[in-house]
Amino acid sequence: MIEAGADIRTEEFLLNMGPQHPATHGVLRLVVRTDGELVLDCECHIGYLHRCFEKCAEGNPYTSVIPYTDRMDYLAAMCNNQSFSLAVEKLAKIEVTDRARWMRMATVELQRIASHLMAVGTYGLDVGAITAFLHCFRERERILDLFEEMSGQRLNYSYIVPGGVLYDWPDDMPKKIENFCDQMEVRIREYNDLLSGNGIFIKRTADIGVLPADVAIAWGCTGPVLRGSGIKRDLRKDRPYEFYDQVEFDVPVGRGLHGTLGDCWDRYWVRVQEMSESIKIIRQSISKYSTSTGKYLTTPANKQLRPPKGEAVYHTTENPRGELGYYVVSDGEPIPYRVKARAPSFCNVAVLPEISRGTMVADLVAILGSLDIVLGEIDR
Amino acid sequence: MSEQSSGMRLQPLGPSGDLSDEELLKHNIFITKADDLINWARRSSVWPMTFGLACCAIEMMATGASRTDIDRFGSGPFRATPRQADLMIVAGTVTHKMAPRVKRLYDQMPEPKYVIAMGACVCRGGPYHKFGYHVVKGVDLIVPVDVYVPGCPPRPEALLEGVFRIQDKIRRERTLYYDGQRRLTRPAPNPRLEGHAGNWANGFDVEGADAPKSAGFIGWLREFLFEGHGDDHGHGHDDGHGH
Amino acid sequence: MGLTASEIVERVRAALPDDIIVATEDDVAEADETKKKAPETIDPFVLAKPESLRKVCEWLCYEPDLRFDLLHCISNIDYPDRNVIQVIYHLDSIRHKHTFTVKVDLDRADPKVESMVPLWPAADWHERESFDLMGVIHTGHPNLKRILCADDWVGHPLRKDYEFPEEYHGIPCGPYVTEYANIPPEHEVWLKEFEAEDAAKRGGPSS
Repeated sequence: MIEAGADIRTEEFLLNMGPQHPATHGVLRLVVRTDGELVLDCECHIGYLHRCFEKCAEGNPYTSVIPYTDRMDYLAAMCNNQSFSLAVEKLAKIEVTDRARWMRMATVELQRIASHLMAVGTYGLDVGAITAFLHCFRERERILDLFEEMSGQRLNYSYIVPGGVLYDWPDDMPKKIENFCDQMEVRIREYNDLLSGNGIFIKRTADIGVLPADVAIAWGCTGPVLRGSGIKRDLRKDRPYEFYDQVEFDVPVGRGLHGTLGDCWDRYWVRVQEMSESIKIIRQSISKYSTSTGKYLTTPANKQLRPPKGEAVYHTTENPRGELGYYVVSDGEPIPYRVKARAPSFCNVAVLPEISRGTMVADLVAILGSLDIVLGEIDR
Repeated sequence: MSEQSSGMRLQPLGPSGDLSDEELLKHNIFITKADDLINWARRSSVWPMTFGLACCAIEMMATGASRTDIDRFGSGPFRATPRQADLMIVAGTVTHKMAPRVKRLYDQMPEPKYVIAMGACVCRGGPYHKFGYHVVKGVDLIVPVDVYVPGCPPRPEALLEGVFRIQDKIRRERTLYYDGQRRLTRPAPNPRLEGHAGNWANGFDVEGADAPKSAGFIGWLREFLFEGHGDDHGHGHDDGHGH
Repeated sequence: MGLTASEIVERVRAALPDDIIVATEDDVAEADETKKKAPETIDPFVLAKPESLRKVCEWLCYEPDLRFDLLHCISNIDYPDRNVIQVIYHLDSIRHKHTFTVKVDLDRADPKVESMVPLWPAADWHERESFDLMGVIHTGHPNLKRILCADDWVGHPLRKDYEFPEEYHGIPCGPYVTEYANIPPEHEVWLKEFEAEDAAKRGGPSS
């Protein structure tokens, strides 16, 4: 007779998840060692989308690298453009007018909303709520419409270039963006009704995948993953670039409302709140844009940049997924000598084995979704 | 039309009956070719496999989401498993690390199966053609591609158009009497593969003697109509791949 | 805000004079020249000796008023003309909100440097990537194998002398082979000219 609670070793089972799996947000492959329903260990295999960004960047002129940055984090292409452009501007000493900076800030914050909408929508999908996905896509399409009007593309814009932005805004663009902001505020309440306060959703996400702050820092997590663990770090506040020091916004952090601090629900909630903060920034940027003057682009977009020999400051910006860094080295030629990208998802997903040990297999999907990874950026 | 007690022995209805087409329609009967009927059914429910690899996958999701609802054209159910899918939409860059998986998933799909190459990377390598050492320069080096949808990424409307072209292709097929006809509508292996010894295309369309007899409804129909003669002409590939 | 990078350089110079490579006069002159051209583009950094990199990093990580607790990134640059592979550690402090850069020059033929995984677990994947793409061997790393490229990939792609593969597992690849596989011979001359021009533009022999 076996006593209750006795330690019986059961058979371990290796479960291969991905690279073709609907819940891995792309082509991430997880090899999970399970004991029944428990995850004993999990190992991430990446590289199934390794598209050689850094080699491509070493072979193309500076302005031609911009389209490759789009395709790294394809859910937040504007932010990637901006980050690389800022690094090149610093390297080649290109001035940007105030008006272009305000345009950039508004587009980047719109992109942040679009990216978080995608994160929230697919996170609902991961844990079994399909309605929120359709609602989120509806609003995301409206942002994409705005972007299409600005840049002519739906997904990979290449809109923000060294020296400003590629095309001027149509006259009615500020009004359209404001209209969108008005509606978006209402929609966020709708998502909260659908998802954030949903009992099933809270059961699936609260107290799951708890990421303590010290672990998050040690593994290099940034962005909403780090802020979900209660650390108030946002490069837009800490090391302001563009005009982020001239706008007012808050940095939402996880507070453990429905469970332990740093669980999946906290990370999700940080994203939802960031959407509201982004709307604040957009409104301020639009009003500043209307009063500012200057050209939208200071250097011709097809001009061959030839920065002096040297290397850029390792330039970091706050992407929707975390801190994106570009390290650009020039040898005086029109082609960069070396471009290194620090992708936020690359570091965020590395922590997955740490926080998934001892959880259920079904929760693994919830944890992965809450990290909000983009494989194009992880594999580059 | 009579049913005898000695079993299900239906007399096939022919156009040579006494009734005209208009008279038949009054009895809710219309006469068509079996191929047309089967192709109509097949092309109205082309179920794609969720095969999102990169940026194009986002547009593929957008195609299935609220605005351009792909469900209207019968391709709504994105299946997570290749065994239930008819169409593989390769959306996104295929890398050398991913290539064996693409090939395997293609092999696991049951006949008839179709492939849409969505996006510039899948068609020819796209922006990564020159410096992408790890990128397969076109998925047609791995699996036969029926329809190419260019764009980086293509708009959802473009993907819908690709699905329509697949439907056009299905419309032209002859299924019942000569199942091997699919070989004629399937693209030939990429000529770029010539001279590469161990290429992935070796497995395409082996005219093997071990092609299985048809199972399922079409096999039954063929058996019923041709009483076994039909298999002299065609190798059935209806359910399951022939390995 | 915490300390500026220049202040941190002074702190490191004072605390660990034997473990960093003090710039020679030529280097200083060259750096000044570069700084004149682009004053703000270069972060102040220290160039550590490869054998004492661990000591420098440990000191930076645990010194109370520096406390670099976040390893932001590990970059690496290949300099074939200097026969050097440079590994660059971008450090960040969440507590004090300052950043710093540590560089180390390694021999190109045998690039070996101690792993930073015991200090920052985040170094795990960065070092694997550095090994995969540049071929830097981080001794003491628990699991140093390829991370992005396929396991049986040949070569380290980000080295400047990397040669693109012609074929991988039967799939033709490489920069030109797929496009110009069946070109007539007169076009090959043109193609070679194009490649030579391209190589000249890149400033050295390339693949």
